Amino acid sequence: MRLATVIGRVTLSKRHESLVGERLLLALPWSSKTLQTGKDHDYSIVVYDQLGANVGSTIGVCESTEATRPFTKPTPIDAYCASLIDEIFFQPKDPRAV
Amino acid sequence: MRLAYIRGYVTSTVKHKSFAGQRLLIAQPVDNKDNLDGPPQVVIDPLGTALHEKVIICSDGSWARNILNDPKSPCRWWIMGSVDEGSGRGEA
Repeated sequence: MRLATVIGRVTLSKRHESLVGERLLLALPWSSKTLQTGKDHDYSIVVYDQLGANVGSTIGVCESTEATRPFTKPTPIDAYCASLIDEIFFQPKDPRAV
Repeated sequence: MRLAYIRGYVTSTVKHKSFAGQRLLIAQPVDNKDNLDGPPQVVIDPLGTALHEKVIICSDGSWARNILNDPKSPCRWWIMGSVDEGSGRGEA
């Protein structure tokens, strides 16, 4: 699961027949620098959402083939919003390290 | 499988039901010189790993579903083991 910031919504007029009632988000996945700087995100991705994330919120995105696992019928997606992140604790370095 | 440091954790109320009760840790992959190497991943922790421990994280989603006991889980990354101090730092 990768952390990502939601920056927008995507709607479709024509869609693959398996995508019915889908909710798609535009999100910026966090890179290795983002946790420290708050910027330097990776390029944006479209994420399938069933939890109802808002623009501006931080989400956990499951990528690759595991993104399709929650669905009963085959669904062609590669990014799935698996959690809405409430709080993040992060320490870039071990304070006890010498 | 990747070498990574545990640098934090996240809390989440609304999440896929397979993650209920799991610790969600932030693992930062590193290379042989401990430089940051690739984006941080949120991983599940079946071992009880400490903060700042060096670990191997594995992207085998099928075993992650086995750990969570849910064939519909989207989870992919999990902590496979903690690395011995001093190892995993070879020359390229």
